[in-house]
Amino acid sequence: MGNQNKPNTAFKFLSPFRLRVFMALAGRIIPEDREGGKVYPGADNLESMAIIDRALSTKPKDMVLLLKLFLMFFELSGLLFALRPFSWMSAEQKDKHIRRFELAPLAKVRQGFWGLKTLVFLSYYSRDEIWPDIGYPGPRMKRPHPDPSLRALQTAPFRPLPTPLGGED
Amino acid sequence: METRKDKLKIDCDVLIIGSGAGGGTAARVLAPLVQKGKRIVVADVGPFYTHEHFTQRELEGVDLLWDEGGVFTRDGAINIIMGRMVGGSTGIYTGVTFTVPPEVIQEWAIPGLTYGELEKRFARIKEAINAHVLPDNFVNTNNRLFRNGVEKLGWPCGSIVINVKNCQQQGFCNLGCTVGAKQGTLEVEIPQAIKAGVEIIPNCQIEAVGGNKAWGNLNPAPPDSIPAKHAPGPVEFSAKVIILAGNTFGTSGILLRSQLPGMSPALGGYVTIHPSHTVFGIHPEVVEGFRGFPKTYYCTKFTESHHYYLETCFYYPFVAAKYIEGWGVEHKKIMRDYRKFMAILILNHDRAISTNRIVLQKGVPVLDYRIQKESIESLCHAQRSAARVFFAAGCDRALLPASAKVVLNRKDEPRLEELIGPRHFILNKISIASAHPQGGCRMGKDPATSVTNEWGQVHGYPWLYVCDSSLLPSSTHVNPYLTIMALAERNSEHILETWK
Ligand SMILES: Cc1cc2nc3c(=O)[nH]c(=O)nc-3n(C[C@H](O)[C@H](O)[C@H](O)COP(=O)(O)OP(=O)(O)OC[C@H]3O[C@@H](n4cnc5c(N)ncnc54)[C@H](O)[C@@H]3O)c2cc1C
Ligand code: SF4
Repeated sequence: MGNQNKPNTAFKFLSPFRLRVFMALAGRIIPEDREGGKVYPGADNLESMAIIDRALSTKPKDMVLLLKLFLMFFELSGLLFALRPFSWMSAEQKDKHIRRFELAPLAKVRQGFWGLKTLVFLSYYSRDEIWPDIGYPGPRMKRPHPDPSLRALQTAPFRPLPTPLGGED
Repeated sequence: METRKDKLKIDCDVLIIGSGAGGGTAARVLAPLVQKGKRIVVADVGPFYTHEHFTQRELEGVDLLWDEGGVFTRDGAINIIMGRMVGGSTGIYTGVTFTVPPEVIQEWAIPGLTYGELEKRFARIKEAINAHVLPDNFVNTNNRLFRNGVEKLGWPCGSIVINVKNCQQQGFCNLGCTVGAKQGTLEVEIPQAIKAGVEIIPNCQIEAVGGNKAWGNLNPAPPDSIPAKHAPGPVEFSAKVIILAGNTFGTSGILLRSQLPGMSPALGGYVTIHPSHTVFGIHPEVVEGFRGFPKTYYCTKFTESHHYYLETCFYYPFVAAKYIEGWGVEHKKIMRDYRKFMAILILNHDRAISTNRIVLQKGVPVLDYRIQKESIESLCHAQRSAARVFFAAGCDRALLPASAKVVLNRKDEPRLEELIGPRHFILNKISIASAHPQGGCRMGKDPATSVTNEWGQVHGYPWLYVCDSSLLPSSTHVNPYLTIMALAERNSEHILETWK
């Protein structure tokens, strides 16, 4: 797989492979949609990924290792069902794959998926830019946080992706 | 401050490990000993933030939680939320102040512990922390709708007692009260104890205790927090009395790691957690439950028959999204109605069984807990009740986790029995949470079935006491902090009275 489509990021946990899987998953858990002529962005954006990366960078090593393995399993098990890794699937195939994990007979598989889904929710709904779309006015008090980089993760506006991710790298 | 390599030795008369509901109370009761020349130290693994630190943001609030909110039961099915800061879980609690039902105290059968005695303590503590029913102007739309719904169904609706002073109805209680209105340990007992000369050592993780000693490590203080006056590095405390107040996880963990001879087989066992769901209805009008005080009403209609309470509540966008089933465009469109959400908290009071216990995994306390069939049935019943309240309150949709459909409409109401039930209660798929872990070092008479005696003294260890949620022999049925404070006060008074 070539790498000219990889965004220029300095993520700690999200290697290009993991970033690609997470982006593909985020794009189905919270996809872009339109209503009343308005476009509502999806969670497949680098700002949300930066939140996921940060959340994972503070987790214990063995937990992160498990998550890495689970993500790989999630991606590659697509080969068994659709003859292609998850991130290479069509939107419908992806949704089917997600449902397979969500309702898997093995509790550990459901648990892994629940964890990934929750991270995507965290990465999206903790961002200021999303709040107007859900009618949430945000904090009442404007207070700084001692770590400005954490605050910046929530307040940085979405940037367009350098190139579409997935499919051809 | 630079890190030390050598062990810092601290000699004191009383060492209190943990500064939450239990530890803070113990510090307050024992503080008069300082006047008599005794040295009292409170060590907490969490940082010492003042309320100026809290920012009302979910992502920034996670550093107030154990494992940043990532503690789960061993099977991964239930997320346990606990505070890890000076003030413990009271730093992020809502302040719902309930008195334990008398039959629970009867069931505990602790020698000498009467309901009458506890009632006096409850009254005194409630007064000291300004616990009262909030006036009508504190009832926000979410609470008003709950009351309307419950009353329409002919069910009882009680007013919740809350411990706040000058509450500005900011509505972010579970991210830390930004104005210090919530009268938790951080605002009341800890300042009182400091004023009386008690020393607080934040960022200090205690690993084990033995022979009037405790060993641990002092970690660097995070930015914006009040640091300990000692440099980070290993610590050894020597104390005449050591009080464990690290909660069900912390205290059981310390005792399990300490491997003290002759420990009761009950150590770590009989843990209850009040498994809970936060569920939502969608109202046609704007509710804005995120504004104003989140909790003013509760309903006990099914407490006796089905072992649960319904309480009002509200949560911020990420937590709300997490509690709603599903994903994709359907989930996203539901979230677009966030302003119209009505929210109810369901609390099941689970039965204490010996196999639901804290165990060590690589030295870390982990809760091996299997949710019982009766709890699942109770939670499903409660979801159906919540749906009825939502519809009675005027919601046109209800979102319940153990349901055949992500969104139930009003026309589904006659089919709730069929649509919501245990077959849809899929563990590790639906979100279940707990903020009330209890037990692990239960009080009692018999060392075979209890870890401490009736005064919280660990059987066989006169220098070692427990003053926290881990003492509770079985679930309090209700939100537990007041009961924990009353027991911590009782045990600490015993220490004071028997001090030689
Ligand atoms: C979000 C939330 C909302 C809640 N709302 C309510 C409510 O409205 N009403 C109610 O009654 N209850 C509520 N509770 C529950 C209540 O806060 C707890 O039951 C109560 O605080 C437990 O008291 P505790 O002293 O046992 O433990 P905690 O208050 O949790 O304090 C334990 C302390 O020990 C420290 N510690 C643990 N291990 C160690 C160690 N090894 N070394 C050093 N320090 C250690 C921790 O950092 C912590 O500060 C809520 C809890 C949460 C999380
Ligand atoms: S609602 Fe009141 S108690 Fe809760 S955080 Fe706001 S000011 Fe504090």
